[in-house]
Amino acid sequence: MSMLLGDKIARSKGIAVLALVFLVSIAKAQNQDDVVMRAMRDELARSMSQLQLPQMERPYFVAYRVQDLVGDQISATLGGLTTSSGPPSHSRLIGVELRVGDYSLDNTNFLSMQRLGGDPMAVFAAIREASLDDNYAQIRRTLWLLTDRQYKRALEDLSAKRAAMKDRAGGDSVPDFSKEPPIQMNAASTVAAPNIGDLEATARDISAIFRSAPDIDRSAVTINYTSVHSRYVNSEGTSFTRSDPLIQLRVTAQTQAVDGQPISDSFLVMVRNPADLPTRDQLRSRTQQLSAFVLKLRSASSLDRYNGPVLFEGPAASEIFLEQFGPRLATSRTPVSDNSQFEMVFSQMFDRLGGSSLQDKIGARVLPEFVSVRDVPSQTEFDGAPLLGVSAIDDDGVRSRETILVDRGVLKNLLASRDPVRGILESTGSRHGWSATPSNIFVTSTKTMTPEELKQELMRRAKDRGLDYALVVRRVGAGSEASFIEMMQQMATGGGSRPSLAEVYKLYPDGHEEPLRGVHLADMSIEAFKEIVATGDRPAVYSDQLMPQMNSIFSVGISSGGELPIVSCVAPSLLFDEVSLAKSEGPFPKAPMLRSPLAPK
Amino acid sequence: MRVTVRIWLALCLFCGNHLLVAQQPPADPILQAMSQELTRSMQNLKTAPVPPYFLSYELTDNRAINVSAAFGALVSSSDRRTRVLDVDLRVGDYKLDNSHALRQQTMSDTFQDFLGSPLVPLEDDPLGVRVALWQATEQRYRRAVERLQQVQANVQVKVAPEDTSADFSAEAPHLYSEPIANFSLDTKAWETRLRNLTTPFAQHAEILEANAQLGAEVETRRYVNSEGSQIRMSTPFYRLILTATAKADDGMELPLYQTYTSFHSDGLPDDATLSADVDKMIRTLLALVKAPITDPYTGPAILSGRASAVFFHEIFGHRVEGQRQKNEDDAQTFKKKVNQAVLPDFLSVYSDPTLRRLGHSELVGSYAFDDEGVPARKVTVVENGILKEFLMSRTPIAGFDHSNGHGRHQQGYAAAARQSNLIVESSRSVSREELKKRLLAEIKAENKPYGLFFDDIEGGFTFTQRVIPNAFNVRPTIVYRVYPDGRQELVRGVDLIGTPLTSFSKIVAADDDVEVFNGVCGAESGWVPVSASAPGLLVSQIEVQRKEKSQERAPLLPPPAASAGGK
Repeated sequence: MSMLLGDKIARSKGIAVLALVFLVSIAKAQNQDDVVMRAMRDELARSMSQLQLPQMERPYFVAYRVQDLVGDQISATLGGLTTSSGPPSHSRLIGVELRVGDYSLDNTNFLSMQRLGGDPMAVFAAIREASLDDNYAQIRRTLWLLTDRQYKRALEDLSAKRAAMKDRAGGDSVPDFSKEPPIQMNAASTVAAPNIGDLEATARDISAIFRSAPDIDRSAVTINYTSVHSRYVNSEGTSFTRSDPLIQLRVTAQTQAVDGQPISDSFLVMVRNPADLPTRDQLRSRTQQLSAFVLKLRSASSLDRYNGPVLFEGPAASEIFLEQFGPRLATSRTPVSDNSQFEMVFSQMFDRLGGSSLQDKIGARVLPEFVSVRDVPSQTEFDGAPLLGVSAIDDDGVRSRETILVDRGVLKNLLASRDPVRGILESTGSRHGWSATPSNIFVTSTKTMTPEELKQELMRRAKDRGLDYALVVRRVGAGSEASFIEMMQQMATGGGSRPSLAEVYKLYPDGHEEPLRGVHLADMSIEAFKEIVATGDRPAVYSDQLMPQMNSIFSVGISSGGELPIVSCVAPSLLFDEVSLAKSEGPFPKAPMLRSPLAPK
Repeated sequence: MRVTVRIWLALCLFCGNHLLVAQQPPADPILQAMSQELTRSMQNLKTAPVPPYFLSYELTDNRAINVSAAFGALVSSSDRRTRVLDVDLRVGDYKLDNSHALRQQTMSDTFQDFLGSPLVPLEDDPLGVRVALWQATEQRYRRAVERLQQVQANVQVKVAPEDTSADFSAEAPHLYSEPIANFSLDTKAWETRLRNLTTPFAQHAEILEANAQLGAEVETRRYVNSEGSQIRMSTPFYRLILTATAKADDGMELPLYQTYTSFHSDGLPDDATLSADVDKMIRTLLALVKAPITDPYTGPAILSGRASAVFFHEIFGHRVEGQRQKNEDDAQTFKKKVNQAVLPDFLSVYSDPTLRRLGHSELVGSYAFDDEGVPARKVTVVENGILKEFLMSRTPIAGFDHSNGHGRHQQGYAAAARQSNLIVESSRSVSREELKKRLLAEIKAENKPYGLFFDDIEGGFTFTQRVIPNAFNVRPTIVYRVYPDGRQELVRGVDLIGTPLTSFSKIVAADDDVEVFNGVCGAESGWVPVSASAPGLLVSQIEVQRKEKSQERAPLLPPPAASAGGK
């Protein structure tokens, strides 16, 4: 008995020693981090108290950001790796945001055409590569030079901006920078880095599946691992650390239909934690499904044109909502310029590129009365599926908070960074990367139907229109990256229509379905969403990277690197009464002259 | 006992096998796969309405380690492998094919190629490589047929060109194989070396940028073509670049560069030599910060061997690249000058890729075969001042029907005639002392207050196109004023300017101090390693302008105190 006790004591002592070692090592790690943070704080204090050109204003706000970017790209085709970068690459970026003037009028939200003409790379001036070593002297040295340069630029910009503002009738009274309470937060990573050898083995393994599919012309597996560790301090007393790891695994397959039309499809898996990756067996079976689906599409039919009811089912509803509304649910400020003609062109150009903000629609109805929309950055999962847009603190060091965007069909508010726009003067803690973006969008409805009821309603509406079938969309695109590549390819070959829908079916009254290929949405816009007639009762999750509002880059400049922000959307199936679809037109390239070397001889 | 013997025997057998393998390398499975797919493509496409008449595959394996450090801290360290495929597929015939320059180009072909370029397995999977070759061949074939139609229409519509030479030259097939090169680098040791090497720069507030970059790579190229050539070349390459920039009080930025290159892992200088060079760079930078600025000046000058070498590479070398005499957009400076004097009679110029070293310097522009499978050979460009031959790829020009082994490219670009090792030789050399005396004599004869001595140079850029003024701009980094009494004074802010043809005629003497400049040269076929070597030259009249100056003043605050935060 006593022996046992002694044993227990000895063991708990052992545990205590272990715990102590553990704590010491954590403390040591934090100490090491502190070298970088201390360098940032020390140089920030010096810049705020001493940096001043004689007879000129001092900076009223300075923020430093140091980002450690670790990444690796693995790709494979037919069982062999096509890229290999050895150990994961590591780089460190330093960003400086410096403001002179005051919160109501400062050097930002100004685009100097004069400067941009002379040096188009000026938008990247606020960012620099820094040493990988936690070398106090060298981090401060880099901050010193970058702060000096940004201060001189800021003074020039502010005086040019004041001159430009003098020329215009009626000034814009919206302040340049919002005041936010200081906070400190440490949200460093608890997630282990993935084992690159395992990921390589996975890429080899699942890409080899296509070795027995000679009719698939091209296939690839790519796995991107990135991890951004950010440190941030600003002169208002805010500081934070944050980690954003991400693994993206994509499998792509391409072939040509009998008439030559290119067919391309892919699936994407995104996780924050390597432990959340599907098993290799699950990935194999998804890859086999992809292969089978692409081959099936080769002989699938198309249609010339369709105007009528369309059901966006499951994640396709979240996807189309995110694509159309995602970028528009955030504010975007058009900078003042020293060339007012250009300002107008600029504004129009970026509206077309990024989708214009809905800021002029506040108070207007944008959805049916039975639909509401919220942004909920704190929610980590929905119905067991992880939400990747989750955020505790944004890139300006503002606490992320829940925002009601649309209440019973009416637009109430938009997501904002610290760059105010008319009517929205406070940050919602939504700056992710270069601009404000949503985090987790929740679309809710008070008029729901079961999947069966929705299909019946779809068929009823089709029948009323005299159609002998209706359309169901199960996937819109193959993700933003794939759509982007497809768009570039189309531009290169002279085409220009929207990418084809990834998965769309003809649904007949007897319940049978036929897949369609080469069909795209003809004129989808957010206006169409007002005509949603019913929604499902089982919301599904879709996550994707979002292109930022481009205006912001020119308003406040680029002071951070890393991946595009990821947004999750949770929405029920959406039934539209009227959607136009059209056939993707050729000319298509000819079918291959020779068979693949994979084909049996 | 028996067991031991058997093990011993097995070991012997193993060793024997191993030796055998080393002596007779096994056939390269990747080269075999390339050859098989090439044969299959040519045979099957023979029956197509427009069959290809030429096809080549080039597969380039590259492993590159890059390490860089600044002011004693590591900035980046990477280790990457790539395998890139280049395909040359031609339809039509040698006389007129799809590569024919379209006057009035419409669409960027390179962009399309980039988007469609297949993924090539890095690992030696012959079937995977063949699938990639097949994908690329299909894509290139379609494009070649389309382009040939455009070419045929274009030829009908436009006026006959001045130069009616063929589009492609027929060349003899070659079989050549180098063993896969050994490549080793102690990356961790180099990270430490570069940290140590760049630490001394941090002690000087005037020096705003300072870094050391090590690039070590091994490149293995496999090439097969439908004429029967099969070539494998494998070369390691090591390069260290030191860069430091100081800022003068008036805002002028003063960069200095120091480059070391070698084909051998132990060919770079040792730490003592490098540290001494860093100290010298620091001394020079501190002197440059305080040096007076030169005014625009026209008068006599000496160019050191390195300066002359860059000068010749930029203003002469690029203008003797063959296709420039044919391209209607080029100025064609030397087109009609063959067998005429283009340089003073004591100067000859060679381009010799077969030369591996000159004096103590390795020459980075050397190779056994060019990128079109043509053996490298020494080309006499100028003999005793008379222009003899252009640098030729497989694109013929009037009077020059064949390649002389100078078709080069960076992966992803079409090959073009490029320089290799440019060598300027003088048949009448004097000592550097004597050259300086001649400079003083010129200064006095022309009644100039001083002459110039260009000691080192950054490399420049040159435009050979017609639409841009046909001038050159070579950037000197270390320049001295030389006064009539022989005194030398370091100056800053000098840019060398002028028009090419007039500069050549002003060269009046050369010395015996030959120096080598190893570098990488960028032009239409991408970046390729080149060297240039030349003696010091006395030029009777050179023109300099004031260097474009940064308007940004020096930093307002002093450098942060390194000690303040420590640990």
